[in-house]
Amino acid sequence: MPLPSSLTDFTLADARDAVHGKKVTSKELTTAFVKAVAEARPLNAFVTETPEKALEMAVAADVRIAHGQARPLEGLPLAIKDLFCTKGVKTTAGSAILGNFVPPYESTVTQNLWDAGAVMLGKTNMDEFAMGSSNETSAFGPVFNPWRARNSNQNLVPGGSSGGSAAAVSGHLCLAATGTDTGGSIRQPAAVTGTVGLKPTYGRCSRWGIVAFASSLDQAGPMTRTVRDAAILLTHMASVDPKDSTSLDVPIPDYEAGLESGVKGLRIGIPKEYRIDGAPPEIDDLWNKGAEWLKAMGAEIVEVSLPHTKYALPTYYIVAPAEASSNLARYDGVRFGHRAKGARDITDLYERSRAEGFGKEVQRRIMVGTHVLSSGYYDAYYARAQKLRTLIARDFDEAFKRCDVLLTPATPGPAFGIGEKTTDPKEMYLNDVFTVTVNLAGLPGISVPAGLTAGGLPLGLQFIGKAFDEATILRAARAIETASGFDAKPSPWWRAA
Amino acid sequence: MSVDKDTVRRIAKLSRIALDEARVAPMVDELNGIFAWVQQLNEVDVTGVAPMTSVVEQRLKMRDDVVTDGDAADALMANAPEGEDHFFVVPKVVE
Amino acid sequence: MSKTIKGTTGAWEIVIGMEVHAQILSQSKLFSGAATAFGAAPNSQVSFVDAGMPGMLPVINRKCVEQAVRTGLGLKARINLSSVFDRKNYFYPDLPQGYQISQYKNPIVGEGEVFIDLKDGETVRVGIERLHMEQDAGKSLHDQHPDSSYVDLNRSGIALMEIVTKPHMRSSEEAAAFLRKLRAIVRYLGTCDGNMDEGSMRADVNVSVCRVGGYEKFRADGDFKHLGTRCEIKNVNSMRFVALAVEYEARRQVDILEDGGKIDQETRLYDSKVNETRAMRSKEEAHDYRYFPDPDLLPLVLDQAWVDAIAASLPELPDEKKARLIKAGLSAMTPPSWWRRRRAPTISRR
Repeated sequence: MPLPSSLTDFTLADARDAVHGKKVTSKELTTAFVKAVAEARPLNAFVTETPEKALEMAVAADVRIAHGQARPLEGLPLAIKDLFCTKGVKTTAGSAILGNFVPPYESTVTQNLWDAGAVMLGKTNMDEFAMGSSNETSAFGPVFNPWRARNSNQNLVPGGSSGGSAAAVSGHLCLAATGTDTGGSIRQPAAVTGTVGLKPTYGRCSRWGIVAFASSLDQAGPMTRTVRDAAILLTHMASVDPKDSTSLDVPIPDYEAGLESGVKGLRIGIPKEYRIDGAPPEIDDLWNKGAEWLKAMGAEIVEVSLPHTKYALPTYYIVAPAEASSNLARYDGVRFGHRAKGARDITDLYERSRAEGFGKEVQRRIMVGTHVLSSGYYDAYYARAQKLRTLIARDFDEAFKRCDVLLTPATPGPAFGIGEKTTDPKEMYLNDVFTVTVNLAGLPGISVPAGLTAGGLPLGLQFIGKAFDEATILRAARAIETASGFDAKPSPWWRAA
Repeated sequence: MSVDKDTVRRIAKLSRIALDEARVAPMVDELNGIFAWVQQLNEVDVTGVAPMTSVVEQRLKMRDDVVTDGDAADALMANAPEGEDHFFVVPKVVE
Repeated sequence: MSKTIKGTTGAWEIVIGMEVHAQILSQSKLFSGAATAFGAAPNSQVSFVDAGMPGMLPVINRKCVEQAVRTGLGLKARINLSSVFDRKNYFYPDLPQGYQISQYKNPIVGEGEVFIDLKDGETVRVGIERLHMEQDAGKSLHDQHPDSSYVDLNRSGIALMEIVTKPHMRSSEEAAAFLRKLRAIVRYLGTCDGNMDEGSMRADVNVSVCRVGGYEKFRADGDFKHLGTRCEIKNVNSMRFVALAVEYEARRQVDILEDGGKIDQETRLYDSKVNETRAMRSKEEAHDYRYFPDPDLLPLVLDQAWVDAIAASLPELPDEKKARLIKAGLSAMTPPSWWRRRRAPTISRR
């Protein structure tokens, strides 16, 4: 295997082989990424850089490799979304309310990664408490997408909420990154940054130590440059965790193993309700092209129906804020995080700490959530939304009687400009129209880059799988990756900036 | 089921978020925009449909009754805005 | 002791219901592995779960579930094989998560009964409405500093059983007798040590008064309109205070009603130093707890076989002991003395 011209061009899989094969040391590789991260500060992809920690971990990894004790991800530098609590390293969730919170504990997912030998480059920027689809709600400023349209200097959003992780992967600032996905927060940013993002089955990755947004929807997953890398990273993020009551008691397969099995004989469902009015024709065209590629590779295309699709977004915008309003009650200025100065009494302390610490979108969602749970409104909003969830999940059950995976667009459009969609919150919410159904039903979904718009911006396709069946969506995504031959890269304009 | 200014003030109070009077009217509009939009769920007949309680189909995990945690007062207090002698300190609460 | 209070305008009846919080005897907390021992140094028995730190998640203690079922069986109650944990949302400095995990619509134990023995030899049946599991809150100390309250979370997350009676008690004597009997039952079962001075058993006492005959009508048709407006006296922590608080509160209500006033439904505190109840000052806005099923937990589903095994392991309880002793020829004159001597159970610490 030839080394790439730059160490930061390695895929996770190739870096693993090179480092474990002693062609490159972890220190060399990590140093290259530390440099790339520092050079990319104009992107604002990281909230906290941890170069010393990275090099320390890299050196320790090299020692293990020299002693023949390499673990599966030994010496491979990753970026971590700042929603994962990291022991001794500031964790913000993109919010001012966490202030200088330094967790005295490590999330299960990141602990799994360190136990597998991975190296931490830093914590990535994100929408505040993962509430957003453009990374513009972060208390630490927006992240810029490494991609720009052809012949344009306009800064675009990287999607959200895992916008910093998506930008870091897309801009080759790390080998891979972790993300979390509550309504599309892995898959949507992956799609608009030309990267691969996988949301596993709910419960596949432990939520322990991940700052909660909406507990019944939140799920961690990998963000990578290739489908193989997503398979590798997921294998080492996932675990059966006795500390999370909703973590699945189901063994974790080796996702890399079946990746190249192809799609011959696979039944691909095309849900007709995902053709939406007003979507740019490029979205439908790419979707049709994806189906043709799969058909050409021997898959069977089946039209299916998910009749309650149009209700998914409004259902989500009841359930997620309701859970968030309760999950975010702990940010009260008493035990950690921001506390308002000079409070008259305890209520004043709560009200001002929270008004000062939470950004606008978070405050809005807490208020929506408080209202839909309050006396007299619970049945009309929350209870009804949970019934809709049952119907949405049932739609998928029906569809999966006729197919093995579903193919859909990942987003209703490519990356948009900073500030373009911040006036009406509902307009922003529509970015998750294709991804949110999956969270409501707890299913796995993957976004894979499949082409470029006429303006030269990446677009993705999404596969949705049956519960527990990440293996099949990875296999299907790998097939699309092969067929599309997608290898476009953003030009590193930020280095000149 | 739209909200008015008083309802918004009540929601803010319940949420423990200080809402300047100047922000009340815009918040009424923002919330009503969202509530009007989610009203479309009323089109669906949900008679006899059970609300989803969990997307995970498995038994609730149970732990054994052993002490495995705690005894970490220093770590617990490390992020506290105000503390004394391992107590969290808040403005006087009247019962 | 009489079940009626004489007023200037005629006689009144007292009606009492109770919500008893009993600390489940266990080594570790309901949803975390922190210890439950009484009297530890501040915040020394607190896991990050109990402190509501970001990303922390609850995992239920099997022993606590077993203890709740055992208590339900001891109360001759229906065990619900499926129950649900809900979040009760409110802000308070000793409630770290901003919500209490409790059981609202679907408790683990349904209706049961307790028989109480009065001094005159009469036996009264007190219906149990339900028993549910919930987390205790921490403790706020208000007397350490002139301008500040100090918060200790050692109690936060300790497992409680909330045992709710029907309004079946009619006098201060019955109220105290009920609590005494309940304490004996949980001590026999080994599910709670019943030590009221350590706070491991606390009673919220609901008191109302109505004209004579109102209670009979209520028992006949179950309609609460026959009863008066009730006041809840919070956290009464001894048998004696329960009796005193009921006496005081009933008299207070009668006096108001006879002066042509009306009773406000409110929460009151019993002050044992001056032997009176007073309205709590921190009423502020009406509570709206926004209960909803806790998405961090799944429904609690039990196997009938597991419940049966617990049932088979129950010890002899006070009523059975009494029946056995009577059958053996002992007099039934002073029944409580047979079982009251039973010492508080403890749980062995490893």
